[in-house]
Amino acid sequence: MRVENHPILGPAPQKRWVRFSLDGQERSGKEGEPLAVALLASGDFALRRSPVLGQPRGVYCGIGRCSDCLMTVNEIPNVRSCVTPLAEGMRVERQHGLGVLPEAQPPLPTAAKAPFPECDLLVVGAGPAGLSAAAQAARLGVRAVIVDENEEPGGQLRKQIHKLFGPADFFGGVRGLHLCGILAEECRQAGAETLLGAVAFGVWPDGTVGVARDGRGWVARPKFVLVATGATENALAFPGWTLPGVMTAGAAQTVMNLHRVLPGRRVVIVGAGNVGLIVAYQFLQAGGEVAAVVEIGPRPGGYYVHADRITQEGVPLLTRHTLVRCEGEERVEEVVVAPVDAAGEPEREQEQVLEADAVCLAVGLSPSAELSAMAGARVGYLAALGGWVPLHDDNMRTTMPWLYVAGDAAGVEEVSAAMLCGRLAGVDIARRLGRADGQIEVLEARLRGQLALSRSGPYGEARAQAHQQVVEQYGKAVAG
Amino acid sequence: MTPDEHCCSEVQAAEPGAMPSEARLGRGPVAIIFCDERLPCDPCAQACPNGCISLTEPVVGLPVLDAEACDGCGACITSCPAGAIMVVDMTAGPGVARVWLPYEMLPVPDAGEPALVRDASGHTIGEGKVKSVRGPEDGDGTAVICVEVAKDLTLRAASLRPQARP
Repeated sequence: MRVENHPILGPAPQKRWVRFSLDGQERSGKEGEPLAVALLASGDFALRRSPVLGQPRGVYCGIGRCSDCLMTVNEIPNVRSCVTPLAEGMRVERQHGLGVLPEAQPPLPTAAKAPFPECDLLVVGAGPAGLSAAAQAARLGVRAVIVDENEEPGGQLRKQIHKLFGPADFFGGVRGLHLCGILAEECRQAGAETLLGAVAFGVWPDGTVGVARDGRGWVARPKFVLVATGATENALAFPGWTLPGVMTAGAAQTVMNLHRVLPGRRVVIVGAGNVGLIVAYQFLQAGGEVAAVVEIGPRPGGYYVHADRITQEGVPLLTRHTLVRCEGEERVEEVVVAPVDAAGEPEREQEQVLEADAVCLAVGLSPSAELSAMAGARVGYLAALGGWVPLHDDNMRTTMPWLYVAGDAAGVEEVSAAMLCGRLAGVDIARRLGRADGQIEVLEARLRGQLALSRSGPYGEARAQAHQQVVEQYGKAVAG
Repeated sequence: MTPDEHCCSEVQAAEPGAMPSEARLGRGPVAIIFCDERLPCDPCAQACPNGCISLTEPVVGLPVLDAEACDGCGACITSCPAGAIMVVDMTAGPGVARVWLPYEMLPVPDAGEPALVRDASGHTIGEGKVKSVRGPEDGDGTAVICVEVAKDLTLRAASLRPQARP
């Protein structure tokens, strides 16, 4: 169902309608929207069948990471339909199993003709951390280039249509999507270059970075690299979790808030952290219904004020509950939930059946530390930060002295902390390049003060302590 | 399942830092802030043109309203990222009061339309009449709806749902 009008986003933008085919049957969608979104809007939820059991699969992560939405497009198998722009006349087939390559194979990627732009700092990821780092470094005279796989800057902040918490002098009260524009403009004004549609596919221990764009590849050799690749949403397995309609909370935000399609009419949300609570509210804003928010803990993990916002809209917030299973043939039709006992096990005799056609998983995020680890940076496991994080000093420098990290890729936390860590990294890189002036210490002290504030209070203290542990472990790693 | 049946007894709605006194409520519009956790957030304190909102400590403190100095202008309502501030006027008329609530849903009602008024747990507690609508443009997407309700419902009002005329 398309979201024609939205209280925050306004009327849906006018786009050209194009025709395409699904298994030979005609479909239509809006030009340039992700193929998977066009199919969701057409009511096509099952996008492929699994290789062994032949089960239906649908959109799950919505941002090109999980491969659940692979389809055969114009004879090419294994195309991620959630990140493939819809074009007139596309021939789309639901893939059964692994897919078959066509006789005439597409050309292999080749080296790019022009060299990679000269830069001191290559930032991977144009989310709030990467944009902040690049803008800060560039303001201090560093030649910074950002690469990002998406077609717009902002990362996952683009779909955060709510007003952000934070101090008013540091973007508190600004909607996430508007903040993207502010940060991208900061980069532009500072002279940082942004390469969109460009995938950093590898960072090697010698400091080289592989970048692919438009089927061509580069090997970049910047002086410094900053990895700001964000985080990946955690999965939760239960009977029926592979049914089309079960997706991450972020996928629902992508589909609703970026592409203006409701991923279901009535959703069950698993997890009452801030992400789950916000997505529930955003479902209501997009015109959907929320059957329940299910939380296994005794209270919401997110802010009470967020919880209030959905309970006062009449959304049941079921604490000490878990999702037991999803029922359905080709998609989610019913969701079974139950209270849990003291050991966290579902009490089967108290199961309730909720009518719903979508399930959103909001069960936490894990830092995307792959590129940092590949580059040789030491990692450590900190549950309070979401899992494995690259060890770093308090300027965000990892055990590879040319490699920095910032944002959720350095430990999952709030956007304000991501931006501040990015700025601190940008300052330190400028200093190491000899671009520091007399003001840099004042700037740095201010940033550290803001960062400490953003990690204070009952929700921030655990993260502040965990970051301290990361810095201590970094110290031991570089000393040993 | 209706909200009445769901079991979230341990999920308490946020409490206002302090309710304005009876005497203050009797003197006209005044804000009430339902924010009882120390979150790193201060736009409300910055938004008040009269400086009536202070924090118990910088940024992460709880907001405290000087109800005596507050004139109920409502500038703070849209500043709160969580929509946790409302303004009430218990002097609107015999038996009725007015409440100004943030609103980020569709449809945006027009003045004169009826609206169902709900409490913090989503139960409909009565019907009110929309008196005025501000925004949503000048609240950056957040409208402020003023609704007139029976006086005894006012302090329980948490959200509203427009009931467009048939």
